[in-house]
Amino acid sequence: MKMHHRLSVLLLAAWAAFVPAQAAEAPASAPSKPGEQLLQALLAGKTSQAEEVQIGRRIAGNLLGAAPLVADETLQRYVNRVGRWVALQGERPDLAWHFGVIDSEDINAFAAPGGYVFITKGLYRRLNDEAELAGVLGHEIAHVQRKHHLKLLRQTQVIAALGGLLGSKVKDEEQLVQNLIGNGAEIAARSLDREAEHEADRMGLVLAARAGYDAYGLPAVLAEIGHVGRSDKRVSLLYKTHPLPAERLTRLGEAAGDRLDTLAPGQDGSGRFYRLP
Amino acid sequence: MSLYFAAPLSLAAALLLSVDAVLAMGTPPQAPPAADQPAATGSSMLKQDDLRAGPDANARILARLAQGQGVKVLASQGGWTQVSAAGQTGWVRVLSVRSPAGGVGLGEVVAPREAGKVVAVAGVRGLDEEDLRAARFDGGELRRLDGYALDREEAERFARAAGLLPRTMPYLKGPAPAREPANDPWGINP
Repeated sequence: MKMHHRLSVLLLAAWAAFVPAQAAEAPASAPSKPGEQLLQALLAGKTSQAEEVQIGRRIAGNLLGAAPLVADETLQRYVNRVGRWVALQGERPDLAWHFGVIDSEDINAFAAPGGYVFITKGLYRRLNDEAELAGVLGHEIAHVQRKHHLKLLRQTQVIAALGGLLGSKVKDEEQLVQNLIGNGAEIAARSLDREAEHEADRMGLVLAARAGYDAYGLPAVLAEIGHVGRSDKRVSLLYKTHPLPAERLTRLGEAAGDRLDTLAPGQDGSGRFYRLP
Repeated sequence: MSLYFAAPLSLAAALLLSVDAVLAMGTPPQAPPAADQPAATGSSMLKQDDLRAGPDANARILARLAQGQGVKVLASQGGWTQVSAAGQTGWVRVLSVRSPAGGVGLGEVVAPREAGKVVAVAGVRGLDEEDLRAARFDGGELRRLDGYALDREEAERFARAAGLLPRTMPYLKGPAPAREPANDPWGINP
């Protein structure tokens, strides 16, 4: 497609601009500092798992700076049990997965590279059972599995490299990671490709079903969110960064077709579901 | 696009940017329409589906409902929604029905859970873009998060105790890609 070829041309230009700057200080094959190595790995799309976790951890810490964990140990441990079990059904079962409920009335959920998954108290409050929780966490787990946010960061860094903003001048590695992700946790407010969201819906539904849950948990949550008025401030960030629930449900329905007909009913886990006090 | 990334962009680079690259960089997508949910005008079939005598793919077919046909949603069970249409009552797949609120059949039988409930929002920290951009790293909270993490064995123990039986199921396929594979060494183009 024409537009994508244009993007590729841009990437090539960015790469050409970036590589000589690196080569001036150290051979490109052996970057002298871990920070440079990280940047090069990101630009080349070859981030190691350790580097991915380093980036995700910074984003997670910043997000927690915007909204801390809900002070409820039972809740946090419960969400980790369900989330870790759902994550075991995917392709990256051995990542160090972390799940947290953050103290915000916004209705949203977030993922960061390396296995960090957050759901707001506002969204958790609207859940009806464990299968719905599993579906929401499954959607975020899918983003991590598919490295959707790393791809977003890579696009950004190619642009930044063009302007010579980044590079070998930054001494502090943590500062470099912060530079990579932008300001604070703003990456959490940025939109992924819409197809990435639909893909995460399809995968989230299946991950929850594989874990033994009712496959209709995620669709039920999307339908529930659809009841919240579009002008409600609690969904403004979610609606800005995601396709609308009706579109997501339509796309899920098209993808499911008759494929769920033969699936044995799963658990809804309503008896175990931890309700907020 | 954030200010952070706007500064270093040269004019030439800006001209090279394709529309979808700009979107992917976080430019706010088109704002949702100002109106709230559309008025309830009744449910309709999102796609053609068979109306069956029971909530089961093997149940007898009573009729074929066309896409767009109006239905009345009565109940739901598992992946099935009970509807009445054209004088008959039967079951269709839950994801085949669009509810008036713009959701799917499911949304209609799942009543809004906060009706009449006043949610206190005063003093609660929001999560808008400004909050996120201004957020400062909180190492203490991150360590708390670490403390709640489980290892694989603990998760498996939980599932066993809960009677959650893992099962195999392939991922659902998305729509066929409409574009030819791009020359894309970095895998950025979807």
